[in-house]
This record gives sequence, structure tokens and C-alpha cells, in this order.
Amino acid sequence: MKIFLRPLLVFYLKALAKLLLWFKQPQIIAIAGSNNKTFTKNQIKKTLQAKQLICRASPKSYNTDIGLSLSILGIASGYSDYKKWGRVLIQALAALFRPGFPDYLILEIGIAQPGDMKQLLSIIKPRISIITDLTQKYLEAFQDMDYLVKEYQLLFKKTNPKGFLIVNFDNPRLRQLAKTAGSTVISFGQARNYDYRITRLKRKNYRERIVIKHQKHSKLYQLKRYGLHNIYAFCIAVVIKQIIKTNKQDN
Amino acid sequence: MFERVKNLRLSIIKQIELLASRYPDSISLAQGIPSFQSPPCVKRSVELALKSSIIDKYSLSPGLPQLRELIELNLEKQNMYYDWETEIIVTAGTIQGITATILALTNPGDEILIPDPTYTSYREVITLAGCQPVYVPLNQANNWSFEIERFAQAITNKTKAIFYCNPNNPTGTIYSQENLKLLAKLAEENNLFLISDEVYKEFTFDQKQIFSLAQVRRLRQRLVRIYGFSKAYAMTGWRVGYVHSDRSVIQEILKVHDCLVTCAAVVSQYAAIGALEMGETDLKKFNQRYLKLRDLVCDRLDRLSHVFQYTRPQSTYYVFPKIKPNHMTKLNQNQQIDSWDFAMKLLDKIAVAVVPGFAFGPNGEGHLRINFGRSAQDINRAFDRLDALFKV
Repeated sequence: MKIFLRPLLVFYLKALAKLLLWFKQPQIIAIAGSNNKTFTKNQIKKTLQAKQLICRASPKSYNTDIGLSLSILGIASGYSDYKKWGRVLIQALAALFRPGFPDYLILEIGIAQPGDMKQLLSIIKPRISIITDLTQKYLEAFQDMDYLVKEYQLLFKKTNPKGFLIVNFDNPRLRQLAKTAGSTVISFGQARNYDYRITRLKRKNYRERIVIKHQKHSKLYQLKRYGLHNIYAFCIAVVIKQIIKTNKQDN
Repeated sequence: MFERVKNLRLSIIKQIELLASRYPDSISLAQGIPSFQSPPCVKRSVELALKSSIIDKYSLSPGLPQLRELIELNLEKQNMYYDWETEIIVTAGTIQGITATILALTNPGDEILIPDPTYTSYREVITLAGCQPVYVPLNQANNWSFEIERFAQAITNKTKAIFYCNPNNPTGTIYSQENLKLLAKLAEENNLFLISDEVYKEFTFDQKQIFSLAQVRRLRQRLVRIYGFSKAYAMTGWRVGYVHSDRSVIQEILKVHDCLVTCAAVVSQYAAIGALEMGETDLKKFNQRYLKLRDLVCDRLDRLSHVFQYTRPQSTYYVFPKIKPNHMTKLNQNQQIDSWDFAMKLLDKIAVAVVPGFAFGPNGEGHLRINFGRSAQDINRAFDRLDALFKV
């Protein structure tokens, strides 16, 4: 029964999610990559909220075809409980008529199988896409790394041409991939020639310390979370903040 | 021959289980096994992993990145900040995490302070590492809390670490924040490591927040925290847990972990992913059921107040009643017996298995540990037999 029901559920939720996006026209920030999606999502959400911007982020790791639609509709998964899924179907329809909608949707995109990216990008067209990292995680379902890279290539092509691609340039495959981008690429990482250059300093007072240099401006930050992935997530949020600020000035 | 292991003993708890297995009608309230099954989300996660054939190979030695990411996120919710890449290791249950930690932190001949009573296997792991366990008595009169002066008195120039379980097994005590901070101060003053086993941290019956010293950033390089999925998520068979500390410490523990198991079983790591991603509701459900079982076992013990005297456990699924002195003799034709003999008598006469208190340290003598993580039916059947034996 599951074999028949799942595609129906995917179709139903996808249709409603697309309809809702068409009505509400939010700015979509899509986060893809092998690692660090949730940390990045949380950091962006925190940054936008601090700027008093109305945003919503995918709960937990809702990043599959069903999860992405649920994130857009703003409802929780029924997981393995059929009764709960019954409620989800009703809530999904009701979401169309719910007043208010965030200006920004921060959505995770999960790639585990060939064709996943195509399926997910048939639901959303991101204004800003982020690729956090690319590793051999989730490689099992692909013939080799080139096939996995092709999935991400699609995101580079399908992001709104007037939008932005924020890419981790510390990753050599992503540096290569950026050459195929159809929209503006903003690079970040630890090398000198990137748009946002991170310099990692020695921890002090039990805080991670970094300097982010963009154009001629350098700023020191102290982070309460540890590790390079949290530094990347923080840097991405700084980039997003700058994009929004520049957009506002332009408007 | 067998020099290294000559002072080790098979855990008393397992000995009791082995003996109980010979009694066809026995009811075991001994080993800390919950009666619930692992939540469906755990099984679902494993099913998906099996279908995708992603469990056939080793994971990285510290564990699957996606699991360690989830662990970091989970810790963050509890005000503990650790980098999943360099500061978290997924282990084959807590005991393997404990073993790797003790082997990494100590040298043979070191002393490790442990509260008395506390979990029985600590003694064995410490002994295996060639170290000396030093029991520091807890204060029974004050709900088995610890007295910092006693720890201070037990420190010698050989002391390397203070190792405790919070909430404490077998007493069900939650150590207060104030006391833990005093312990940390003592560790700092004497340059000692702190090893905190928090496998029962999710059991919060009286809605008490359980404070962890891992929340204190200053202690990062001094503290190793150990957690397991066995108890909270009813996953004892999966053997999966984790340790976390500052990277300077965890990278040393990783070397031992790699020697011991290479990596935790990948299938179990997927089970843990399921628990962390979707197990929150089950965790609450289990907690509510354990609360009811705690109240049930306390009610039943109240009926036996002429035999046992106990403190209501604040956490874990154990109660640790004291056997009233007159009943220590009554069961053995007025001859004085110890908690081991008392437990054996219970097994012999009514086929009820419990753990003798001395298994948890000298201060536990005269007590029994009763596991109320079993079904209400088992608890009631066992206590009906106790009622009959002690003529309620």
C-alpha cells in the first residue's frame, strides 16, 4: 500500500506547496551540501530574526521531497503514523488559507539519490542558494563523485539568475563547480582571494575567534559554538546579512 | 597467567542474572533492562539504512558525521557546546566510552575517586586500567548526596580523576548544581579530571532540571561527559552512546576507542540517528511510564515498611532500599547475613532476583537494588511474592 500512497502524498503536498509559494512569493534561501546544513540554517534564522525579518526555517532535517513541502506549508511530519498523516493532509490544505506568511523561507535540500535535486527544484526556485560542503557522505547511491556533483550542478543552474550562490571555496570540487553558475557566485573560505575570507585565531575565553574580511573591511567575531563548520555557518549568515542590506539600499 | 584480570570479577549484576536464569519461574528486577521496546522511529531508521546498504562498511572511527552533527545539536539544546568533528566520539555503549576514557586519561597506579555506592562496573574498568578505585561514601541520611569534604580527604598525590554517575545508579539521586560546582572546584584545585556518566539524564520524575558540569565552559579540558542511548530510548541491545570533551582530550580518547572497536556498529549508529531525529515523543512517553512505575514500586515498598526503608528515587529506574537489621537475620534462622546472602535467599525462596547492595561499593551493604524499569505486572508479581514471604 505504501508504494501507491507515497507518490500520491508527494504529489499532493508538492502541489499545495507550489500553490502557496505562488500566492505568497517569499524569498527562498536554499541550503545544500553534504554537511552542516542544519547549523547553517539555524545561524541564518538567528541572524534574520535579529534583524526583525520574518522568516521560517525547515524544522529538524526536513530536506526530502516530502520534508521540503511540509517546511513550506509549515506543518509537522506524521513520520510512521498513518493517523498522523491523515491530519497532515487536512493541515496541508488549511495552510493555504492561514493568514500571514514569512518573507523569508530558509530551506534545507537533501541529496541522497540521483534525481533528488531535480525533484526538489521542481518545488522551489531559490533566490539565494548555499552549498556548505561536498564530501563522500551520501555517495553510496551514486556511481561516483561526478554523479553526485551533477546533482549540485543543477542547483548552480537553477538558482534565480538575479540571485546569489554562496559557495564554500575551501572545497576544490565546489570551486570547479562554481564556474558553471548562472547567477552571481559569492565565495567564502580561508584563502586570501575569496570574497569573504575567514582567518581562524586561537580560542580565547573558551570562545572560537575569527576575522572575516570582505573587500576592505575586516571584523573580529567571537563565537560561542566551536568548530570549523560553525565558523562556516556564521560566515554564511554574515554574507546573507550583507546581501539583504545591499538589496534594501538598492531598493 | 591472567595477571591483568586476576582482580577483576564478573559484574555481580550479571552473576545474579545468570543464577536467576536457572529458576524457570524467576522474576528479575536485577539488571537495568527496560521492559519497553526501542521506539518505532529507531527501527524505521535502521530499516531504511538496511535497504540502502549503507551499513556494510566501517564508519569513520569517531562515528557517522550525520549522527555526530545531531549529537552536537542535541547538546546545544542543553547548553553544552562541542564540535562534532573534533570533540564527539560515538561509542559502543557507555561502558566502552568509559573504558576508552579511563585508559586514555590514566596511568597504572593512579587512583580514581568514585562515590559509594555507585555503578558496579566502574570498579572493574578502573582495575582493568591498572588503577585503584577509591570509594568515597555518600551521605545516606541526606538522600545519598555527596559531601565535598569526604572527596577532599580522599585525594592523594596519586589521584587522577573523580568519576561519578549523575543521576546516580543505584540510588536514583540527582546531585545538586551547588555540590557539582564544589566538586569541580576541588578538581581544579587538585588538577584532576572529572568523568561524568549521565546515562540516566533524561529521567526527570520530579521535573527537576539535571545540571551537568559540561555546561561550564571553563571545565572543557578537565571534564569528559559520557552518555548512552540504552536507558532513555530503551536501546540496551543496540550498544550505542557517545563521549564528548575538549578536542585536546577527545583526540587522545579516540586513539583508545580505535584500538577497542574501530568504530561503533554502523547499524546501531543509524538506530541512534532515528532516536535523535524522531524519538522526542517516545522519550516523554517513557518518562511518564517510568514515573508511574516508580510510584508503583514505592507503594509496594511502603507495604513492606517493616522490612525495608528507602528514599524515593528522583531519577533512574532503580530504588535502593535498606533491609531492616532484624530481617537480615530472620531469613537465615536468626543468623546474621549480608546483602548477597539476602538476595540469594530471595532467589531461592521466591525466585525474585534483585542486586545485593554491596555490588555498588562497601557503603551499599545492607541494601538491595530493585529495577522498576520492568513491566507493572512483573513488579506486582515480584512484590506479591515478597509480601507472602514477609507476611504482609
